[in-house]
Amino acid sequence: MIRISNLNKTFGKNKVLDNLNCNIQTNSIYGLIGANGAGKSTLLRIIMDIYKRDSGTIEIDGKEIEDNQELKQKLVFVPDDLYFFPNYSLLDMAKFYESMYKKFDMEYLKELAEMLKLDLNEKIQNFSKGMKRQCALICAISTNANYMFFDETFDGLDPVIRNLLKKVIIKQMEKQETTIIMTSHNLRELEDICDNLGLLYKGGILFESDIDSLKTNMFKIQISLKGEFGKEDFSGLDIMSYKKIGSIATLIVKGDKEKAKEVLQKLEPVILDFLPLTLEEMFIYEMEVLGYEFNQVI
Amino acid sequence: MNLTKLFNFKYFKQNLKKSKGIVALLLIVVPIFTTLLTVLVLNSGRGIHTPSKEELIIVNVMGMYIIPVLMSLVLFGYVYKKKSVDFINSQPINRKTIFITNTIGGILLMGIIQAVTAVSVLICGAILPELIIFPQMVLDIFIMMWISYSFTFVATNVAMSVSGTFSTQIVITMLILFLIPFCIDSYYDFSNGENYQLINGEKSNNVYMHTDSYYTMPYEMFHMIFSGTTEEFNLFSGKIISRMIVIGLVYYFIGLHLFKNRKMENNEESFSNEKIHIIVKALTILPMIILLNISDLGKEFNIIALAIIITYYFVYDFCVKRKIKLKVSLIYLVLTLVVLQGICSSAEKLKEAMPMRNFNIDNIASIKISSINEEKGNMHYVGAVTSMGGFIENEEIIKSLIESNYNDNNYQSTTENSGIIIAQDSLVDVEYKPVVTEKNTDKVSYCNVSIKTKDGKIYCAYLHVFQKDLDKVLEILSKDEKYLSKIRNGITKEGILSINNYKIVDNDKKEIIQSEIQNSINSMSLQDIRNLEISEKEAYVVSYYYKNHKLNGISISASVNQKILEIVSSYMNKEVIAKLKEDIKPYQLSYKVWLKNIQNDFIYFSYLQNDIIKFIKENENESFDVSKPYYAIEISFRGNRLNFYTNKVEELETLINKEIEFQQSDLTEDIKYEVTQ
Repeated sequence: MIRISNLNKTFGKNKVLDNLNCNIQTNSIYGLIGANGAGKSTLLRIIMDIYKRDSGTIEIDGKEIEDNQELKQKLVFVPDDLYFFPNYSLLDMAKFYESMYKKFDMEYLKELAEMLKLDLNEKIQNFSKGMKRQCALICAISTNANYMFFDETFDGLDPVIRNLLKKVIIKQMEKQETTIIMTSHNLRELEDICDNLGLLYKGGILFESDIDSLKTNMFKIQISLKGEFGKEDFSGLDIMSYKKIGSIATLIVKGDKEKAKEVLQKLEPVILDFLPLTLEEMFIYEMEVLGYEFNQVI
Repeated sequence: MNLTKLFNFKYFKQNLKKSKGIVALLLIVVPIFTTLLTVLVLNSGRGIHTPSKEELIIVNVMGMYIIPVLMSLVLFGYVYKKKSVDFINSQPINRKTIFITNTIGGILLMGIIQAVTAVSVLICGAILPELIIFPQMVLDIFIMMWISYSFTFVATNVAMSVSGTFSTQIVITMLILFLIPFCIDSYYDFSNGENYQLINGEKSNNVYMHTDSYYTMPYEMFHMIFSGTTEEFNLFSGKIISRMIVIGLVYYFIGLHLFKNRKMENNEESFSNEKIHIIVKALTILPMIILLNISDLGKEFNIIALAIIITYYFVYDFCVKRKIKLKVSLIYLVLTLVVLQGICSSAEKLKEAMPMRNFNIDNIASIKISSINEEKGNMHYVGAVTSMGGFIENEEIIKSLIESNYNDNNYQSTTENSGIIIAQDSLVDVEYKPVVTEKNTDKVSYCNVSIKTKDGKIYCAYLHVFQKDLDKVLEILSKDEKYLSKIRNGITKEGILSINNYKIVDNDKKEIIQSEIQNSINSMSLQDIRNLEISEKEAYVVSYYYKNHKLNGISISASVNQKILEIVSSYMNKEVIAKLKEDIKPYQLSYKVWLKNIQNDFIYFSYLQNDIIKFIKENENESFDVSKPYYAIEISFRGNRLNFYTNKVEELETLINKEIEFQQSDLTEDIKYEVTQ
């Protein structure tokens, strides 16, 4: 488990992380979203002990991360801006990781490279941007670290490779207990893989939730009743958003779907449709409840 | 404690592997150029030659300012790029381990550079017949330079820990290496420097006393090069070594602390604040301004120095700030120069106003005559033998030397500041001509002395001592057995021998000659040792040795001792015969015959060269008896001298007379020709 408490970080006069608190459960994928400059990469760098924090604590498996070499064996980081030693091939980079990580699995790396059709002996500098990212990802996965931090993970990858790598990540989680934090400014990139999502805004986690409960507990309803009706007619529901155009009202409701159905059936609706919500829509409505314009946040 | 936690070899190996080309270059550049220097410059037709430490470390000294900085860039350069910071610092290795690994590894690499250099120099010494290189001297250089390189490396790592770019690192390294010692030195000079007065009864004299204030090798070398001083300072100084080790350790811990707490986000940009840039620029040009103020190198030098400062100011902006604002920079430059010059001028005035410090003759506890610079035929002459006797507490000697100096009125009146000028404690004998003053025709010797005061401080000074006073001092010392024994023990019989620039490799002969030299020295008085003259008439033997981290040599004429002459003559005669059997034309050789019993008188054979060759060949199997009258025929070939010794006095005299006749008749012809003209 990753426990972050009262984390603060300033760059010059710019406060990037402001009293950030966050708990990330073990063996889950945590998606961290936020606008550019929200502090996602900085948070990951502080967790990885690359940057020094101003104050606050970060505990992983109950241990403080700062200057903890043993604990870092369990951590691996793939930054958004990738770095490879000049003139190194994938195999050379893998050897570097092998020398640094005790649990590095060279055979697995070769297997992944073959699957992704990456030439082990070709210089990485000759690879495309997407191939470089694949190299970095498979090197990181082959470390068998228990905590993986991927910054803008799938940036530059085509959909096929993206899905392939998502499968590899999931397989890795099946293989061993692995906790993953992924950042992105694009919610759609994370929705099909993450267990939890956190929204970083102005240096703090504005909102976080696990995706499953979010998906089962929030739904869109389109309803029309006989005669005139208004929001007050749906008082038995936890309405997050209410819009009425003509005789049709659109409701975003939080809670148990069956119970909501029961309540609405009693009103003898002319039209009653339950529509699925995209993750983005869910976030928009959650933000609205908190008083934020989603477009300003992300 | 788990050592792998402190030194991660795997990481170090990978760190080197990523820059293997540059690392290899850094490792070989000093050894290669030192070898080339040794082979091509130090070994170029100079006859038998013992390169000094100063000669052997020329490349090393240049490398001392470059290689550690580049090595630091190779090992720690990742901190200047955000991408590489993310990559390296996310690895399972903490900052402390990275710093310790790279520092220790870097120091080891410096050791490898020095070891390879040392081995290559030793190989040169073994292969090249004319070079004499002492393993102990090479070891001294190895130790000194390794520590110096490591010191620079550790200092530049401190700079790296607080820098955002490599150019900033260089600037801060300069400040650490030069500004700090320069300020300490300046403060030291300011508080202890020039305003001394040596009091002797009613007489007084301004004295410039120089205390032994060596700082660190990079600074001392820079100081020596920049100030153009020719003062010798011992490269293997325990003080410099210990200071570098202590200060290096301090820098190491400062560097470690700074690196552990380094803000890794501060990269790819130098100082964020313009004020810091101005302060740093001002600090870096401060030593230059001070040197300009204290040097007497003339207007041309001042203009050049000013041009360097202005250039530096803009180069700094270009390299460190990566932008030049001409107008703003010029304003700041003028302001900086005005402020710094104002500070320097004020300091100078303050210094002048400082009260004179009295240095009373009664405060002198002991005196050491480091060297007496008289004319000597051979610069490897042991020269400074007197220093081997150590400090002399005899009051009579102290007074004789000091008072003799006061009596050199001519010198005092013609010297602007002082009667005693600065000197360094040195054993190396530099050839100075004796001064014949206008008012006093007595011969004056320059005595390089170290003065120990009763409070334990040691000062160095040059004294002008009249020969009669010096003779008196030496006479007293000659009777001091303790003093003499120190000198005799100081001259070792170990070492490398040469006869007339030919290295002796025969160990048996070497041993006998060394023993005989030692016996001869032991039987001589101090005056005798000092007065050992090398007669050109004879072959001479030089015993080179390296003792107490200093290169020394003693030269004596072969005729000083009969046994030595026996060995030398037998050796020389064989060499002459061998040389004549080579395919050398007679005109390529020059022949002169040293005339018997006439000191330094000789005759060149220009007409009867073939007769001389015939004479030598006919007598090649003749034995030579040193106790009988003899002639030495000197054959010179490309600067090398060989002597053929013969007891066939009458036969050779006939040839000499014939040659004289030819030469005289030729002279008569010339005169006749001139008269008719």
